Amino acid sequence: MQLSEEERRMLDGDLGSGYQKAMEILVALGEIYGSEKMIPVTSAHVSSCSYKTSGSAGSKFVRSLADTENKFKVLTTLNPLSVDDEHWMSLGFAEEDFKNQMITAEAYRRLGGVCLYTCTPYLVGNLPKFGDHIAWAESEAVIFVNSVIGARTNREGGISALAAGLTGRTPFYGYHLYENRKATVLIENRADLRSSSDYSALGYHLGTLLVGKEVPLLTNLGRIPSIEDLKAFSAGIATSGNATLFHIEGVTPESTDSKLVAKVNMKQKIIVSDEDINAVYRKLSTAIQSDIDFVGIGCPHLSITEIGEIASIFEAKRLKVHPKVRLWIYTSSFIKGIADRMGFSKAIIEAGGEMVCNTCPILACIDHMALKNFATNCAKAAHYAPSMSKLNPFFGTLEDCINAAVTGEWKERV
Amino acid sequence: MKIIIHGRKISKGTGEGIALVSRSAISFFGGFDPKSGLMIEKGHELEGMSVKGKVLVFPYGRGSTAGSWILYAMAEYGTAPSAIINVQTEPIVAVGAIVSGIPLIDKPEQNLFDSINTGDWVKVNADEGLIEIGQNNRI
Repeated sequence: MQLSEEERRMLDGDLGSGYQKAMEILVALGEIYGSEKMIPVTSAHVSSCSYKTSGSAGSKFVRSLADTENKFKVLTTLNPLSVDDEHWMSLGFAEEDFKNQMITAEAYRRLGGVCLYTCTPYLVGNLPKFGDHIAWAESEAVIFVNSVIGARTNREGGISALAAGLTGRTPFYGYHLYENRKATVLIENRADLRSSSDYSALGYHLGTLLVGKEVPLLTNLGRIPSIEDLKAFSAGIATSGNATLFHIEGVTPESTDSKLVAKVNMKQKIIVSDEDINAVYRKLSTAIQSDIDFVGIGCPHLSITEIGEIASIFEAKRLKVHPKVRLWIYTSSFIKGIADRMGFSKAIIEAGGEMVCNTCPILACIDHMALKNFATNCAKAAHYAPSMSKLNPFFGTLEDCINAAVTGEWKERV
Repeated sequence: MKIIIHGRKISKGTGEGIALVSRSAISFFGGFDPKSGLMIEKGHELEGMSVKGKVLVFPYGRGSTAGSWILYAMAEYGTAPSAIINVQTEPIVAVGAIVSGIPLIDKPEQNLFDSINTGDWVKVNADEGLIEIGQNNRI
């Protein structure tokens, strides 16, 4: 690999052992992927700050980096934690999990990591521009900013994103290159997409069909999808496969580039029907008993629009959460601050729900709460519920989930 | 008899030990128990064997990216391999080896599985991209 003088000095350890370790990682990845040089990045987003996934080994490694006093060179934001770092006690998180988590979080803070603690950093302070080269982890955020914004990132892991944040560099390969951003599979939608959970299911369905480095071009979606639909779709498609970029005709910025969406590059055409969407709802609903004790909404973290919608459903119908059910509404501290001021949090809490910040349905350490049957409107949360949280999932729309929270029963979808 | 094979440096350093050869890919996550260094994946050809202090030879890594942290935890517990040789490495094992300070060479110029058997004594000098193999526990 060709390195600049500054990159070479980082690799040789002249600028500190943290930068050296980070550059060793990036050079190795560059070698593996056949990259000829590094490119500067404008931001990084790091996923390995959750104690649940990186454990004591991850914690030790990050502390060793923080001890070098090397700092992130570019804006580097952090993914959700394993606990709500503010209201952990009242929500019932274990003190040991909180303490372990905050040791890791503190090490990231010492490195200069910005504690957004969200999987939707693009909503709250890390928003790349079109064409920016960035190095992000968190597969949902990666595919969202690649596709909806037109920034350029590969699907980084927690450690490679950390290394990119420290050095301000990433190896130049993959989705940083224009020619790899061409649509290769044409998706013709014939399903009636009515909610963000339908988009979540559509994403999950397509993720299972796309292999390798395929880039889908979606056509005929009907109404223009909202930001909430697109983040649900991003989470779905990134969960069931390796997809890293999509284009939507008339919606995403690169879909207007005739070279990127030329029909001659399409190797395959996939038609999506209502039955394909319904099949995902069925496939991910693996719980057997219909009694529900846990409902989780907020994978990916909710926008202020979505929280307002939930609050208004509870208020308008004067609904109450069933006493045996915990309803958790997940978002970042930032969005919750707005929800508090809008009165949305109060409406949800008075109905018996709980606002949960800076963690998520997948990363939260809740095993000790002995919850069993879990309803969610997100394909990603349903997919990971059995392996990550020992929960039996039901996957449905927001209405299905609120109904389950109120009645304590999952109603079979028709 | 001594064989020398050239390869590509991925993670710097030198290490040596008895070779432990796997012809199948390895997932460190769910594969190795970091406290004991034993392969615990059911049905894997190395099941029940310890990798501690050995030169681990396998085609490439697979599985969860959390595998990098397992390798780091093994280094912390002192159960890690002394060096790794891959046919063609991938990011999980490469990143794990670098953060843990375990020498790693890949893309050897000769077929690894014809040249190295479990039990051979192997020296890895990643900085020079050199693998030295001596049969019968000797170089």
